[in-house]
Formats: sequence, C-alpha cells, structure tokens
Amino acid sequence: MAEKPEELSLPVASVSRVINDALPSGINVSMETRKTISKAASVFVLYTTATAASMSQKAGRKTMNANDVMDALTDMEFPQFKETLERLLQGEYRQTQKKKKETNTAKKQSTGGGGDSKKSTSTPQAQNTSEVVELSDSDE
Amino acid sequence: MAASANISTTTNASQQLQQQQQQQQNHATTQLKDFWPNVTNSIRNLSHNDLRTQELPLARIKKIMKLDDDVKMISAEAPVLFAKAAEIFIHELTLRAWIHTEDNKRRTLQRNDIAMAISKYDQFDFLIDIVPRDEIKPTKKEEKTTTTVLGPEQVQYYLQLAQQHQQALQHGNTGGGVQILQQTMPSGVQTIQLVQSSSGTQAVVQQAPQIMQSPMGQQTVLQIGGTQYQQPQQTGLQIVQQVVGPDGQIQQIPIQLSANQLQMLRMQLQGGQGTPQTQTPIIIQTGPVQQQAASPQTATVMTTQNGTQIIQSS
Repeated sequence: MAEKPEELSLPVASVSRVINDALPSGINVSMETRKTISKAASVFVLYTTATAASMSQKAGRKTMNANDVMDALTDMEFPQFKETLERLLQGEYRQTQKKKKETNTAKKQSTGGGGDSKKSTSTPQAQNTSEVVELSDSDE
Repeated sequence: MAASANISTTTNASQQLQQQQQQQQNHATTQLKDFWPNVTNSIRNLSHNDLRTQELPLARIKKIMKLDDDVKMISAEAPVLFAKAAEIFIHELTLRAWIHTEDNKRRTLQRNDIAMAISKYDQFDFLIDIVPRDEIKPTKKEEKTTTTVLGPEQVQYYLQLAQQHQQALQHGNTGGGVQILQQTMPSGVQTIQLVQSSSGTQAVVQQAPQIMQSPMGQQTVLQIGGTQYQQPQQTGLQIVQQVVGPDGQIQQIPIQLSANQLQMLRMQLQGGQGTPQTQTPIIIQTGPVQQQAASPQTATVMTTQNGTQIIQSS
C-alpha cells in the first residue's frame, strides 16, 4: 500500500482542536508547531502500540486488549493516563452494554422474541468478552 | 433523564474550566497542576453524547497501529483507548510547551517550545528524534555569528587627507552595493581603498591619492571611493584600506565600522559636499553603538582642518 506520509500521522485539524482545548484563548500556535505535535502524537500511538503488542505477546495472546494498553502506558511511564482511561473504559463498556441490551430488546420485540438467531447469541457472557477486530484494510 | 443531568453538569464543569483558564492565563504551571483533576472531572461527567464526539479519527489510529507488524488482532476498545490517550498526550505536551512560551513572554507556541518541553520531561524522551534538540538553539547561534567579524590586524591609523579627499568622498555617497576586500600584504605600508558599487554595477572609484600617516610614521596613500553597507543583517561592516608605501608596496587593511557609524560617516560626508572645507571635527565612536560584540572596538576620528582629515581607528 503506497500511503502518503501525511496519512500515517494524525490529521492536523483534529489535533488542532485538541490543542485549542488545552490552551486558553489568545494563545496562538504556529502551523509548524501543530504539525510537530501531530507527528509527536502519532509517534506516541505507535510507541504505545508496540509496547502493548509486546505485552500481549508476553501474555501469550494474539489479540491486544485493553489491559495490554494499560500495562504499556505504565511501562512507558505514563501511569497518570490510566485512571482517565479506565473511567473511559467503564463508561464505554456501560454504553455498549446498554446499547446491546436496547437493540436486543428491540429485536426481540420486532421479531416476536428469539426469531433472530444471530442476535440472540449475544448473551450477557458474550457481551463481557469484548469484541475483536482484525486490523485489515477492509475495516474502514 | 440521567443523561440530561450529566450533560448539564458537564457544561457546568466546562464553564468552570473556562473561568479558571481566564483567571490563570498567566500561570501555566498552575494550569498544569489543575489539569488532571479537570480531566478526571470531565471523564467522570461523560455522557453518551460526549463519547460519540470522537476528537481523533479511529480509522487513522488503526492505520498507525497497523504500521507495527507485530499487531494483528486488537480488541475493539483498544483504538478508542489509543484515541483518548493520544488526546491526553497532546493536551499535556501542549501545556508543557506553553510553559516555555510564557517563560519567553511570547503569545505564540513555537516549535522550540515543544523541543524544550520534550527535553525537560523524561517521559517525552522517545520524542527526542521528532524535534531534535539542536533546534532549540538557533537564536543563540545567530547571536554568536554577529559577534565574529574584525581581522586581527587592526592597526592604528593617523590619516592625513588632502583636499582631494573631499572630492573623492563626494563621488562615493551613492553606494548601495556591497564589496568587501580583505587582504593583507606583508609590507607595513598601506593604501586605503573603499570600493563602491552603485546600482548593481561595481565601480572602483579612484581619486587622486592622498597622503596619510600610520603610527609607524610610514607614508601612505589613501583612495576612497565611498563607503558601503554590507548585508543589512550584519551589524559590523568593513571598509578596506589600501595603503601604498613609498616603496610602492600595497597593503589592504579592513576597518570595522558598524552600520550606524557608516551612516553617520556618510551623512557627514554628504554634508561635506556642500562645504568641503568643514572646520568641525567629525568624531565617530564605535564603542557604544556596536552590538554586544566582544570584538575589539573601533573608534574613528575624522577631523577636517584646512582640508586635512585624521581618521583614527583603534
């Protein structure tokens, strides 16, 4: 895949939004700086990915999960990120659970209950194990 | 119901945050201290709607993750975590860079602020190649370059100029071009030649030679075509003196003048055009005008007395 180099770092526009959130109004940020920060953030993601991948490898798993990311952040000496991310994870988890419940009940109501065999497999246990995505070109 | 309550608390929190930020605009450090409580607060108050507004695109995050060949399968929450982690990372890096912006009393975050933040904070060590450290010092380097001119063979001159000198100078006041000659001949005898280029073409104006005396008592001939500026950014500018001794040998010696001095000299000379026989001495002192340069200073004294001028540079 011949990717353009700029496609391999985070988009400057969204990074700029985060930068502007961080700074009070009246502070300017040069374009060069925005690009640098975006590049730095991309390197941060890549670095974390590599560390987390080695964490999952160490644990003998093929799939990188949230715990690997958390361990990686500790390993990278960014433990202060963890609390925030754990909260996000709980919020996210609650959200997906709730959404699935809603869709399940909706499906059950619409199909007369249990007609849809595909959706009915999503038992509470299946919800607990987070879904796995394969990193392929097709997924976005 | 619960979600709407969450939203209202979130807006309250963000309003508080804004007020705090306005109050603490000049206290980046305090800001940084309050950063984590604020983030924790906002995360605590996250509602479903907040989660949907993803700041950084997950697709791009996945693409970056894919650059690592070891990564094949990831759980669905991993990219979300990465996106949030990257967001926090950007936040923190920006704030740390901003501390340096404030230290320098600037209003614009520059690249070297990032470099400073990275070098001062161990956690950012992995970024040291992204913003190389040597980029921190360009301003210092520039300062250094300005201090370097001036040849060691700065000699004291007592120049006695004949009346023709005035005429020579009159020709030389149109300069804009730049010409530097810096050659030193072995002989102790010297000639002064000021080379002038006007309107792009370089012309060496040679007027009738004039007699001048070096401190060693040597007879010298001075030819002055005019004075020139070097490149505008350079503060020191050089005038080359070509001195011819009685034995016919030529020596070229650079005289260091700052731009201010040169301008002053030029103005004096222009004034001299109208009244070639000015009786008032023209004194140009380099000491106070010169930049903080540690280089030896040049003092030039020009005196017109019955057509005789003395230039002293030390």
